[in-house]
Amino acid sequence: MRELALTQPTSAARAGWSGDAEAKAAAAAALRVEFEERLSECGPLAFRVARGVLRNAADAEDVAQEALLRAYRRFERLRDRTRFRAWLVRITFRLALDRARSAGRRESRETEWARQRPSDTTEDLAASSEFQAHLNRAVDELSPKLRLVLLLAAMEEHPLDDVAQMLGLPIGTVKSRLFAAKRQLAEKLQCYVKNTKTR
Amino acid sequence: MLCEKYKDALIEAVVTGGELAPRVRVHVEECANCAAELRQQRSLVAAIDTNVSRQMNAPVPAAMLRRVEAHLAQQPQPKRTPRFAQLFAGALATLVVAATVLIMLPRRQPRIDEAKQVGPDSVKSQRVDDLRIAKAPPQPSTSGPVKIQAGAPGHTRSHIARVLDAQKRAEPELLMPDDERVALAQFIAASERRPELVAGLVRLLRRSPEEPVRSIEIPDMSTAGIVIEPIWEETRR
Repeated sequence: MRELALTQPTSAARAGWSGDAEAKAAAAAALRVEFEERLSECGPLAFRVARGVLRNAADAEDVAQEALLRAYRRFERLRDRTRFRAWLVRITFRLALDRARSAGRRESRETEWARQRPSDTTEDLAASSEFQAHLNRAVDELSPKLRLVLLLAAMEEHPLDDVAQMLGLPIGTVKSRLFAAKRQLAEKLQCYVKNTKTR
Repeated sequence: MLCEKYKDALIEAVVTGGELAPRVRVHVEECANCAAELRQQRSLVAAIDTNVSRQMNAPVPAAMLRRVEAHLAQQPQPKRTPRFAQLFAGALATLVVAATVLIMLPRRQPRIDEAKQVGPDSVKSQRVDDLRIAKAPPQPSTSGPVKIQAGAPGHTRSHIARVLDAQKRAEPELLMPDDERVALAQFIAASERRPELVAGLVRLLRRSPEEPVRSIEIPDMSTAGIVIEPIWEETRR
């Protein structure tokens, strides 16, 4: 009759297991290093996208942080790492829209939109807080597709072809969306044209 | 107010910030209204651009990245899931969902009325169990043998195929050779002229369903006279 005996793992097996664990730890560390390299490059982008939607630095930082953490948790699943920027922009934009919607519901109960008298000159427009408030509202009413293109195109370090690459769209589509966005904004803010005096 | 003819071209030039087309430029030089409107629209779009740009290029808080890095340090290291494990998990989930759907689907109750085009009127739209209440006429006519012909009028191939299909789906399944199955189908098809025969048979069979049926005796008529001709001869004909 054969005897069955429990044997201690051999030193070779132990070495195999520990080697496997070491390899996993090394892979995880490499993943973190890779992510942190991208963080310094893409962190400001996430913050600006969030700020463009929320117009509040504190909220934007919260959203950017959440987006970056989500991206970190799913970073391993991203097959094409060159698409990281586009991926992060989309995550951030979605999160910021969600945050803005929930904040908007609270705000709409508390404040009623009040139209102030338009400024006297067109030069004062850009600086006027009242114009900015109207503009913000008009931007909020844009469709997400137009809005994202408008916000990304307004960033100094992102020319239109970069925006097209980031969104995975043809450059022509980006241009037409930008045109449509600006046209809609201009139409909604026509009251400032009709009441302004030209010098 | 922009002149209608040049409105679109002017708006496009304003929004894109591009140059005016030569014919539009000539018009603007001549038309004071359009020139004034153009200036105002350009001011508006410039104000929009300035505001959006100011918002989008606001300085990023210097401490933000440090705070994010600190949060990241508290996060557990993301685990590398092997690709085959992801595929396996996906396939397993699909199988579980498919099995659940199959189990949850209500079983189809075979109905004898699927062959209602050929069955007797008393059998139409009734389940097998309901046939017990079908009444046979008291005095069926049994003069001469009942001959079932494959090519009986009104019994086309598709017609017989439908009967066969309904039979295949009926429960309990009748295990019999194909030629007998076809013969039975033809028998049922031919019973359209003899509804009392079907009603009597079913009533007899359902009287004691637990016991095996060794022979069928119909009180009012004799089955000895029924002749089922070999169908293969019919098809070869």
